[in-house]
Amino acid sequence: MVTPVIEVRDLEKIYPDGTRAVRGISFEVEEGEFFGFLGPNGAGKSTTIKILITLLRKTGGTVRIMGLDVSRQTDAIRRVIGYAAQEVGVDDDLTARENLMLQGELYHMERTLLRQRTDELLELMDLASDADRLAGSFSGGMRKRLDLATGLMHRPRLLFLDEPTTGLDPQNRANLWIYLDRLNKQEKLTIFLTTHYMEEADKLCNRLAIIDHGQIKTLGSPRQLKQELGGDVIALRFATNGQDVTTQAQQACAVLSGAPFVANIDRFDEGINVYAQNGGSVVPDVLRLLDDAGVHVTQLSLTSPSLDDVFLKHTGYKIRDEELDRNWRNQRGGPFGRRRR
Amino acid sequence: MRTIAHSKPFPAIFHGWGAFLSETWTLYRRALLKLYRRPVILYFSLVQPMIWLLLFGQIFNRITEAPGFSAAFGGQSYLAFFAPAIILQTILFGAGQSGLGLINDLDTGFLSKLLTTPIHRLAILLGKVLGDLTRMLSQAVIILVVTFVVGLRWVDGSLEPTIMYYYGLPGLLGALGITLLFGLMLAALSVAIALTTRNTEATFLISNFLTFPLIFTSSALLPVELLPDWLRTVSTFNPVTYAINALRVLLYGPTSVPAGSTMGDTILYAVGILLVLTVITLTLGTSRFRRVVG
Ligand SMILES: Nc1ncnc2c1ncn2[C@@H]1O[C@H](COP(=O)(O)OP(=O)(O)O)[C@@H](O)[C@H]1O
Ligand SMILES: [Mg+2]
Repeated sequence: MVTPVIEVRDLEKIYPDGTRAVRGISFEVEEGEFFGFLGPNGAGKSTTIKILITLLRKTGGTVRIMGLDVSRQTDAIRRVIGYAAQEVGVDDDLTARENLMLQGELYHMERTLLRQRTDELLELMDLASDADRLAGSFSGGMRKRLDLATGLMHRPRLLFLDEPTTGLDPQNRANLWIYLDRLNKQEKLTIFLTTHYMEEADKLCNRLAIIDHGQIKTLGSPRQLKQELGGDVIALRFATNGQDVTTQAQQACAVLSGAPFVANIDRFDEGINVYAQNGGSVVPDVLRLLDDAGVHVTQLSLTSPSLDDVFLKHTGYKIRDEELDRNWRNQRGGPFGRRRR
Repeated sequence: MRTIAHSKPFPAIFHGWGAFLSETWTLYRRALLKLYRRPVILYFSLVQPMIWLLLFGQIFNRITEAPGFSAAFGGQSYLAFFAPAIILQTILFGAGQSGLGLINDLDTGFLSKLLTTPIHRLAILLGKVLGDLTRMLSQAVIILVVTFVVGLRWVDGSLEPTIMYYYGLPGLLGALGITLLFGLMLAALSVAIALTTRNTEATFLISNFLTFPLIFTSSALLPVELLPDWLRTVSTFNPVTYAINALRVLLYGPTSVPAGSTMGDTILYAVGILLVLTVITLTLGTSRFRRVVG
């Protein structure tokens, strides 16, 4: 049997102030996997990742990284892992090359290897032509790539990425995805990533866990998770005039749950999601049934199942990207927040 | 295809103490590089004290002719008398920087990055503090050189120094040693405050809070014999007084020994008091640091 690269059992973290950030989560990551933690702000993603990389002490459960105990074999773990945080941990007063060399020196790499490796990574991250410019003059995307490269200097077996694309514009984000995918596929690097972007998790991860309020709500490959919904998604919204939306939704559920072609129904604040195979062909039936029951549908959309729907199903709400980005900015940018470029 | 991962991590060429020293050295070089790239940190705390040095050196020059003064300071110029105080004032002004650097590393995530590497935690603090001491050393040397140059006079068509460093190089080195001890005490205090408050402004305040009261209630501006009685009493509780006295003795020789003291005592008191204070602030700073890095 192969030991998993990451093995987490009943992990718990209660902060000194009593916040229960992680409430008993268990999962495993195999060698070569691209594993994701998908969840909103405050779900406990950073807390979990910090425990895994030995920056934070857990308050319960067991964690093994490459078979090493996270509480006792910290140095051995630090030697085999790489990390890129939500914040970009590069020194703005140093050039890209200096940042990389510094990192490598801290792992006591031999001089020739150090130079070779630096050049190799500058090349890989498309920073070779800017190698001797100060990191402070870099764009957001370049800084992120440099940060990623510093985490790879010592040739880790396992890379941890905490919201690697948060704060990047869509183009830089899509760009970084290419690098990450390349690292995983071509270099066979095992990657553990956290994100609140559905699209990111969907595109990159072989397997992902949806995490909310410190708990894993569901776990599987994006494809598997979508299949579990039971078919295409027919999202319905109801009229607000006259009757209460909740009553209408309740009524709709009652009517549709009896229909043979409906695989599943979820109810949310805004309306309901109906899951059905061959959604296109059943839409008329759905509408007829509701019309007969006197429920007024104001909006109907038919889509193939997406991670958004999976997320909605397991948490009961949707993550709105723009809102999260704004929160994240506010959180970072307070009066004593860090300088942002 | 290059192999980036998959293969094993690179082997380390240093272990144990060698590793610790190499890590400290690497982080110390980073501190120097940062100082080189942002020299403003070097000049920032120098500017005001330097202006004081030049202004007061002129304004109060005749004060040395006052009867009590020449007795207390062996007839040297006020410029000479004031220079050691200016060195310590500069160190006090710059004290906030030590802590600020750490807060910055905390905020940018650079510290987290360091902490995920297998380096010895104290190497981070040591590399940082050594960088700060280097900054202070450069500042002290600049002040000593400027004082010497400003003290030059044209006599019969040639430049003659009016400032004589009595014991030459050994005296200068001794004075720099005392300065560094004073600086270490403050750097550690700055680190302790920075890591307790995690706040740039609060850390900055220590310089502003400490500098002037400490300078004015010490022997910085006048020999203690010339201070009002109450101030003289206060000055005996002020470590800056002892540090300045020791600097004067080491720089200008026996004539600047304070009344009622001996040369050995003056130096011993300074070293003793500074050592005790440094041990206290270092203990504070290190324990705060250990807590932060977990
Ligand atoms: N140092 C801390 N002390 C107390 N509570 C914390 C601390 N860090 C995070 N938390 C809380 O723990 C929860 C999870 O936070 P975090 O792991 O940062 O979430 P995420 O990374 O998913 O946004 C949040 O409620 C957050 O406020
Ligand atoms: Mg986070």
